Amino acid sequence: MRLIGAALVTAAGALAGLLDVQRMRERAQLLEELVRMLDMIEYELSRFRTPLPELFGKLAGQMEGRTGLFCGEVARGLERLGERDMAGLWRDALALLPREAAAPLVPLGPLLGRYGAEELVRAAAGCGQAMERERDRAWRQLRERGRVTVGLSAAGAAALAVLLL
Amino acid sequence: MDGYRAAASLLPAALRMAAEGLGEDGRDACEELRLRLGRPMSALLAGREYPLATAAVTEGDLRAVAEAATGASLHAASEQLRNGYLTAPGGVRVGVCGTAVLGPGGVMEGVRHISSMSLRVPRERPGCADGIWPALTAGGFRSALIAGPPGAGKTTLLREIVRRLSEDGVRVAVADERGEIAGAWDGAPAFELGPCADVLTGTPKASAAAMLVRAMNPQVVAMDEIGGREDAAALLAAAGCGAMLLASAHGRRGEPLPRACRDLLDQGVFRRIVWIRADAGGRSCAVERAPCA
Repeated sequence: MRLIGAALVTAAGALAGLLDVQRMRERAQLLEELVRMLDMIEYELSRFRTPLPELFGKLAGQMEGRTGLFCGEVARGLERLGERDMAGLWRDALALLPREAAAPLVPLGPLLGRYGAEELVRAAAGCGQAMERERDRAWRQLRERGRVTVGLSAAGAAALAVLLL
Repeated sequence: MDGYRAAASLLPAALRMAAEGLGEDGRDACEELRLRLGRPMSALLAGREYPLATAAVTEGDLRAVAEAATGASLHAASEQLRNGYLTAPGGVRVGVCGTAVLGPGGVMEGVRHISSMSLRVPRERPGCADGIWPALTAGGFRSALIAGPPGAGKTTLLREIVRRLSEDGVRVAVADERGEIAGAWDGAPAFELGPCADVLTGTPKASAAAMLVRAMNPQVVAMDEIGGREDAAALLAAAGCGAMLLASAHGRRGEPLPRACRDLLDQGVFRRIVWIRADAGGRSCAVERAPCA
């Protein structure tokens, strides 16, 4: 019975480690998708000067996961312009994203809707660079700490199990 | 949505409430809502401005109107802004004043630090052409010029004539540079123009007329507020292709019309003139044969 208990504690530790790694992977994937979103914003603004309702409507259909939800929220918010200003509805939509993923997007909110295409393209490019740095850091963290996290969690749990025995 | 509500819907909450406080007669007569930085918002009624609120208009208010008018897409409206206006949903034309941004050659590229805005209330008045219809179509529709002072309802009358012609089965191509005739937004017209009207929005009138004649085989080409020589040249070219013309221009009876209109009248392009008179006593229209018809 004790052995089964010890095995379960060790397995639980390993599972916690795996879940942590999964969270890291999901974060990196989200940042990857946000980089893609910013690339598309930059492209659409520079090539076609696409109006924001059309742009975010399109992005909501093309982006995956939380990025798609974020774009959908912005597109819905744009239907309520007048009740809420652009900067406000951008802030509302950012609340759907984890803080560290939302941070590089914060500077874009006060600029959207107020400036010409060139300024917006520059701002989107700046946000894109900041987001790429976050993404690279997230992938690096996953590579460097992923296996160690699982190993340490399992080992820690095993040590706990030994102590309990 | 009626024109007044469409214009008021562009305002931020506090100003919208003030605008909604205007009585029904006032809304019906309101030509423009005017916003000036640091001054209370006012309504233009029969050529005079009346304050609608006590609070001064702020920079944030003007920015909010610009956001609402463009769908937070000022970057997509730079061509319009270059001409000093924005076209908003519902056919509301928003005139913009502020600090001009000049590009190479001193050409205005846009407006920064917006200081004033005028929200032109679009009108749709079915039946407003009933009184002149028999005279306008006697012996069949012939090219016509609608002339009247600013705010007299030239665009409203032009829209109604387009609708009636279109409902009579006449193919009408509308060169709607500022989006005021059809009130098109995202391609869908806000105003009824009948089943046979084709609208080209957002292109300068002169090039739009040429495109429409080439592409849509219209029987009538309609455009608002002709003024420049290029407009006159485009209309002349359209007339040369066999299309009838329907256009409007600023003008008062007894005073000279803009040069472009005079040129077209001299060449016998317009066969009829619809004069709109607007004063304190109201509006009236009269059709007369053009001098060279």
